Amino acid sequence: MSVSRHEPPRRRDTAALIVAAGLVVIGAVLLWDSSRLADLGGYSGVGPASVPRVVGVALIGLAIWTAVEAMRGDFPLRAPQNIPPVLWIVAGLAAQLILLNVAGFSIATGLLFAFTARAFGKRNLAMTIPIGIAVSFVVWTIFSQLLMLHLPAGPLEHLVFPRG
Amino acid sequence: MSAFEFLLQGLATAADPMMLLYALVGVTLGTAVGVLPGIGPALTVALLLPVTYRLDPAGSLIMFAGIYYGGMYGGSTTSILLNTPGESASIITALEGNKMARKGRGGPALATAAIGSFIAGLIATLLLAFLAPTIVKVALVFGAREYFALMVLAFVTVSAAFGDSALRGLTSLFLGLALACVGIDQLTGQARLSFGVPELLDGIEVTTMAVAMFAVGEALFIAGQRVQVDEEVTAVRGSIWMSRKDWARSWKPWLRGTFIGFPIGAMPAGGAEIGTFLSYAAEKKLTRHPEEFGHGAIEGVAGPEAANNASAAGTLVPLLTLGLPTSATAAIMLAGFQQFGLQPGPLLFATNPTLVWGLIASLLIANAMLLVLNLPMIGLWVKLLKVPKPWLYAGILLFATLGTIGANPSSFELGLLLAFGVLGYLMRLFGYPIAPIVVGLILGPMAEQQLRRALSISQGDWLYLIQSPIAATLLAIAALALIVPLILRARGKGEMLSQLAAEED
Amino acid sequence: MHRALHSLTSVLSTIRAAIAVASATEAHRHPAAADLRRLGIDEARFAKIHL
Repeated sequence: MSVSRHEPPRRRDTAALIVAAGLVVIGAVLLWDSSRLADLGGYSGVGPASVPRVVGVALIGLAIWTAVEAMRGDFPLRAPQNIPPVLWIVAGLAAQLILLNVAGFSIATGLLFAFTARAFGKRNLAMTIPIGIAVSFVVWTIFSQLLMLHLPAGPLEHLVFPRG
Repeated sequence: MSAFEFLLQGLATAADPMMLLYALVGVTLGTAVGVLPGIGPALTVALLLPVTYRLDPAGSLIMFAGIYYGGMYGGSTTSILLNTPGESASIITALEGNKMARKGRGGPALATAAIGSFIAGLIATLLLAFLAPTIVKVALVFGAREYFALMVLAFVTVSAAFGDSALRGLTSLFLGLALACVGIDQLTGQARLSFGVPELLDGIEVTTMAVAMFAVGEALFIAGQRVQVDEEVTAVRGSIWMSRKDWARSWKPWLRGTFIGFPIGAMPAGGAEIGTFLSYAAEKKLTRHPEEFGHGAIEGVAGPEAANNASAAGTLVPLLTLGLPTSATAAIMLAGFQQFGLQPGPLLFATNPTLVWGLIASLLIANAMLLVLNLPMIGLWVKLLKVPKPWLYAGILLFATLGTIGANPSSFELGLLLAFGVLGYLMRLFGYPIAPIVVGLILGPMAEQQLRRALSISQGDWLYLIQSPIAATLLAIAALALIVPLILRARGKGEMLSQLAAEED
Repeated sequence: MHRALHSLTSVLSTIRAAIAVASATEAHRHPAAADLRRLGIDEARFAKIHL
């Protein structure tokens, strides 16, 4: 990776500090959750709460280590990201999970297909959405009718296969 | 019975027409995903887990192993013709192979890769067959503490020992272990980390997590790159056959690559790509044509391509005999066994020898199929290289979500897929390795169970864990593998310059 | 004795470099120059591969 030319050598890495904070939160959740378990260690002295406790403490320790590296700027340089395409894919996945049980597999997945294609440069949604729905419908037909996989059906699927 | 007799019996199982069909589907899919940049064998097996849920266990496992082998073959095609590795294990092939292709020697490059892969696959699979019974015999005396020690060793080597940052490797591992705690505790039936959400009581699905990490995370990361490259496919000109001189220069690297790749694959250190770099280093040192390296030396294709196939077979040694995955793909294959209620390890050789030996024998058959698929039919795969990126990634995400929906058609599961996908993206962005979180999620519950079993045998005496020589040795190696690299890295920063000076000799 | 030790360190550091390069490329990052050099890989050529 070519080192950015204009940036001065960075000291504090704020994003990495946020990562460290996130790790503390996860560690704390593990400790909090394990504190309300009845620790039935029995003979062994190691019960259901023991491992989450160890993992929680370890994560908090790693968070401290992360914070130290972040303060010293030891994290590897991150390539600048092109955010809109990433958001298009996230939006596609979100649209699919919201619509899946309402509009059925083909329409929901068709949107995901079109949004992903858009993220990679096929910008014309008026063309890619129909293509996506058609492709998803073919996949739905193969996997739900031939391989007996349970894929949610919607209006489009019911129209072609009235019995589902 | 000797390994040879078992292998013959296995061949009888594997020659069943249905099994041959499974193997054929596996190697074809494997070659395809190997050829396509952006998807690897780990992802493909993860995608197929929900689809194969209702199919025959032996057939499905044969298919998974075929995908692993096929991925190693297919990856070389992309590296040679596109200068973009189809597979991380084929990166080094791009170095010399693409140079050969640009000089019009793409045919011999593809041929030496395919024939080298075949020979390495053949030798390494036979090594697997003849080593397995010995290791199984040793492993039969393993108790809970030995297994626990073995898993600790795997945790350390996968996460901390060799990556470029022990901190990020360990963080990834412990995130996996934290996720492994979610769900009902196996021994006491108490719900852990489920926050009253019924969907979480069964724990985090390995397939959802793996698909999110490898498919969604990767797609997000590639989409986020500022520079999008579209490389031209170099056409294969001239004969695809190797000349007598090509053969003479290839056979030694094939054998050396095999014997470098096999042990590296079996070591709990990571994936098949490590052996490829070592093989390249060895070939460059031993070659009689050093001036050709960097300009299309056939040895630089033959050695690494043999090494990556031998590694794939080497990975199966600890996986089948000890139930220990040493790479992300092996971890997903372990999840594949578990899906059918099978636990790989010494007991499986005793309780289900037909399945194990059928699987090993079918690898020999799959290997032969791959040679045919990848040499005479190479033109077909070259066409796959021309699929434009938008359709490729749209298709990958379509199938990624299809697998998750097929296993559990709920918005909650898709939400998890999205959340872990974003996590995978962020981890790639910040330089966290992906394999440790997957291995942690899969091995975490097993390690916890063995630890608690061992400690209930000893009635809570922790010293019991190190009172067996095998367990003590394994734990000592794990401790060394954790501490030594940390010291070396701390010292290494100051000594970088003196090391550079030492390399001049 | 000294020579044996020397060659052992050389083998080990080659393996270490291979693992470091492997883990870097896995994450689409460019590996350290020193590691590439130890493996005999030309840095400039390696940079041309699209990871």
